[in-house]
Amino acid sequence: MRRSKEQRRTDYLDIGAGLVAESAGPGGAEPGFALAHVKLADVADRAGVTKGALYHIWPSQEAFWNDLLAYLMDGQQLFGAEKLASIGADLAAAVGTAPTLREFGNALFDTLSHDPSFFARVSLFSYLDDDRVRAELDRSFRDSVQRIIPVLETSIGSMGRRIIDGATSWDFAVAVAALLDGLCLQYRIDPARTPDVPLADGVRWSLFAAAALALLQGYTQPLDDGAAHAADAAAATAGSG
Amino acid sequence: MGRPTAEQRRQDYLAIGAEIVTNFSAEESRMATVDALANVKVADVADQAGVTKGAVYHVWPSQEAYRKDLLQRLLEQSRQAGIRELRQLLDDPEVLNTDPRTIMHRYADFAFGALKEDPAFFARFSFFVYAANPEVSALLASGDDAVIEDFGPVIEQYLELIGRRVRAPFTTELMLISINSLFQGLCLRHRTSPDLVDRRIGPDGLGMYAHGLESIVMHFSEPVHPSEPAP
Repeated sequence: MRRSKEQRRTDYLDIGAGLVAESAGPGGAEPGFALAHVKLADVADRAGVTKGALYHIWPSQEAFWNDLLAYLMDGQQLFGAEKLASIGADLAAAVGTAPTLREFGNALFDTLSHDPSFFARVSLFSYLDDDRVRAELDRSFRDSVQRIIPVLETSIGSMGRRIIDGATSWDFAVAVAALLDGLCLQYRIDPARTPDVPLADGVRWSLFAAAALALLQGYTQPLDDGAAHAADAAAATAGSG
Repeated sequence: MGRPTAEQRRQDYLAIGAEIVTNFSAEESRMATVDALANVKVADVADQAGVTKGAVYHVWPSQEAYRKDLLQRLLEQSRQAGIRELRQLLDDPEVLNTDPRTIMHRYADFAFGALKEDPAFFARFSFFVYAANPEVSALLASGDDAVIEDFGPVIEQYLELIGRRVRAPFTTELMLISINSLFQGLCLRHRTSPDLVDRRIGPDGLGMYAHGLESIVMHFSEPVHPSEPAP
């Protein structure tokens, strides 16, 4: 029996989804998946040379992509751990004290959501099969997490709280960093998807800062569980503990 | 001054390529098509299906049209499995008799377990470089909007079950965007650094996604009957 057009449509899409899965599987990661927009012709154009000049160096578009990927991994163009660390430092210099979670969250979100290299890095997740890429993305993530931990720990302390039992500062920072990745991607789709939250205190809360506070609440507890005003008291002596 | 060496030229051209990658502009991407699926060729699809290319082009006018449909398909797949599981849990009388919070924990573990390694789910991330292209961002948005539409009523049903409601000025939508963002971020990071993400958190040993989901749900909501002062 002949399959209907709709059935065939589904069949063909299933095959396509299979091809995508294969190209992400072991040994199948073809260059070009995320770098496909970097065409030799455009590179030649910008360099003011002929395509032939580039083909003189690379036998094919694929060979260029391969080399480009290695180049991106070696260089530091894509990876912003240093930038991340400077956000906390700049902010501390600007406000004259340790930034609050809200201030730090707003600054992190504003910087990353506007950084094209952040999105270029995300697109490289389609090359995870390449050990160079995986190792570099892993290294840069650890580096980033490590650099935000001190600011997060200061926020926790100044709120008179401590990390709950069964979790570490690392766990909290990993969750915050993951949330930041996800919300920046939403911003990239459409900035209207990540509006500021008009909370009653009249100061600016980016959605990221508000959701990071939610994580902070979940990952921490008051230093003194029993006392009703422990948080206030501890906040008053912030920095000494 | 001498002619640049082949190696110098190679470096120059690579720098230009890197520049295109890192500063891919909205203007350029308007011209870009769904190139990230460039690996998927209609010829290969026809090959695997055992039909001619013409048969596939009978369904789609162009390779481009096929790839757009495929992207939508990839975005759909993952959502449907998740919502099915959550509805089942919410309808399971046995689960309801225990602590209803375990519904969310079980759902979160299921969703994270199912998608953290799923290549079809990951395909979406390579499209963000094209997100300045209105067509691509509309596709990506529709995928995430569908998550919010599907999960909105279910999360409200869950909140009712635990005697809470969304706290103004938060909305169900903001709650779900935050939860979905945490999910996508944890999936991304699990791919490169699984040991940092595969952790049991807190006294109940929740998965990292389950614990984060619960943190967001609690912070973005309030008790319907505030009988006791907030902690």
